[in-house]
Amino acid sequence: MASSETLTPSDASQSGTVGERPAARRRPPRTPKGRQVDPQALAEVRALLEERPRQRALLIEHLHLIQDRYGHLSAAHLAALAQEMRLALTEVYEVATFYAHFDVVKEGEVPPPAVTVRVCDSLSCAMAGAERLLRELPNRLGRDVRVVRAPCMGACDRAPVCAVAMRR
Amino acid sequence: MRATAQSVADAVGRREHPHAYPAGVTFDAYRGERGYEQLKACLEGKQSREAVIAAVSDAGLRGLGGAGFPTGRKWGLVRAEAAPRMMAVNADEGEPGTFKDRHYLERDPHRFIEGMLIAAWVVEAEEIYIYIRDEYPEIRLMLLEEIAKVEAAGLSSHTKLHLRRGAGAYICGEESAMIESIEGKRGLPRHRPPYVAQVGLFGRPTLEQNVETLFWVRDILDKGAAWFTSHGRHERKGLRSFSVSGRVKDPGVKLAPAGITVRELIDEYCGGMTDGHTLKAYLPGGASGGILPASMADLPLDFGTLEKYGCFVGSHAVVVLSEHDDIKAVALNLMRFFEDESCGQCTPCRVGTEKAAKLMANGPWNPALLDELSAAMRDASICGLGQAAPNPLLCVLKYFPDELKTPLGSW
Repeated sequence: MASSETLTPSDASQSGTVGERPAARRRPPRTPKGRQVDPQALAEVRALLEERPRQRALLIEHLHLIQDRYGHLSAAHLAALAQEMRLALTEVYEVATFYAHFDVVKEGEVPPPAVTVRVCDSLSCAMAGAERLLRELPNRLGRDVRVVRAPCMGACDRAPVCAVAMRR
Repeated sequence: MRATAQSVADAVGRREHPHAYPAGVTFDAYRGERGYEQLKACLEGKQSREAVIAAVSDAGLRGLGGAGFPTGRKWGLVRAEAAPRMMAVNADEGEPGTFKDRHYLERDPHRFIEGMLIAAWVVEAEEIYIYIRDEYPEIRLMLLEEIAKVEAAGLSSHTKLHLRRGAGAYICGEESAMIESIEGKRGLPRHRPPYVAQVGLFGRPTLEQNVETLFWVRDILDKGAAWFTSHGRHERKGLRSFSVSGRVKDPGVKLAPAGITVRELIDEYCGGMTDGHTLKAYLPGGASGGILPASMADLPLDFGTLEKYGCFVGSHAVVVLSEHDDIKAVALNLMRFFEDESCGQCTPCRVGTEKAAKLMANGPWNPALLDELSAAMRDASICGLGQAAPNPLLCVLKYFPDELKTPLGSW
């Protein structure tokens, strides 16, 4: 008998047996479905939230707490926050991914650098040389700084406009 | 100051976190010049709600976020709804070219706060949620401090103040999307009716106002409605804050009479065109308000004067363009903005902006096809983003037909 954990129906038919029961089912998965909450991540989220209410309307405020402190929103922190707020992880995920200032980082992905420079590429800034800045800045600032496009930041009389954002 | 590669590198090197700059007019200085006296008169029963609504209506104050809805009428409509009622303040200034709210918040936040608290008193709003865009972190930190002072002085005892932070979404400047965001959700605009005045925050009747609309309430009560209407040009009435940028010598916020023309604005308030630039076109109202040619530089700028030309003054964000600006590139920049910022909820906008941007980037432009696409977006989008996104494109087709023959330019 093969030592593989799962047998497929084709294995059974190749052994030449006819009319017998189908091959054994797959073993049940070892963990429940979906991401499980990591205790370390849960402790970190609770420490950040402190006594703040867990009501749903505060979801974006709480996501800001995590993004400000860690520089991104890891899957582990999102799962922990979902549990704390009694929301489905997908509800937290859909809100986190809707807003441009949140960086969701799944398992195995690389978090963004600690510093982000946003370069406005809306009209008044495009007219004032935003594209040149977008070309020059990555070389100038190096790989420890992320340079991204951003929409109008409300300072068009001082175009071109950039904003520097840092992880706490 | 204007960013250069060097100044950005310096800013990165300083590793500074945002911190609150002191308010231009501090709480004490504001009180020192009779600040909060109008609010106190309201709270002490020396002023009636009807009188306040009448003053604001007679002044002709209109929503200065862009929609221009008559303010007094809105307060009356909300007041007519059953309690409990709420208030939401739109500090999510995001229309490209607009920076007047930032200007007033930085310089004189208490004039806005007083107007807000008076409005809340008029409609008996139990709670006020101020929603401030995440791109204004210093202002948010300053407002936290200033609101604490106002609360400690007992000036907000008739309501409860909350300050909420945006997270980078232009669509959250749309009134119903903003409410969704305050409720902790994605900023997806709602179908209307019911309107926000009937069903708003947490399902309750809600008064929603732009920062600048509230900023003028105190002055109108102090000086009278006639003071406000005494300003105006070309038979229009009122004062407006134009955010001017682009090819002018002296860009910035210009407090000017409603109805002023762009030519007058440039010459009298902005020091004229930048050297080496001649007026070719202008945006009268941000990205949504369309593009007009220099031949139409003598139109009065006000709510209601530009609609017949396919444009509107909206947030009064004026971007001045010259012969150095390819109008197709201008329109493409604006369409890409709408494509990025579309919430994605409805097909005509989500797909329409993307398709329009692709067609505009890969010329030559096909006017009939672009017209058809624009009609679909205009007629079928749930909210103003999708409905207004075709405006710059349609203006290029209508007012700049010669540009269609030249290749797409860039800066």
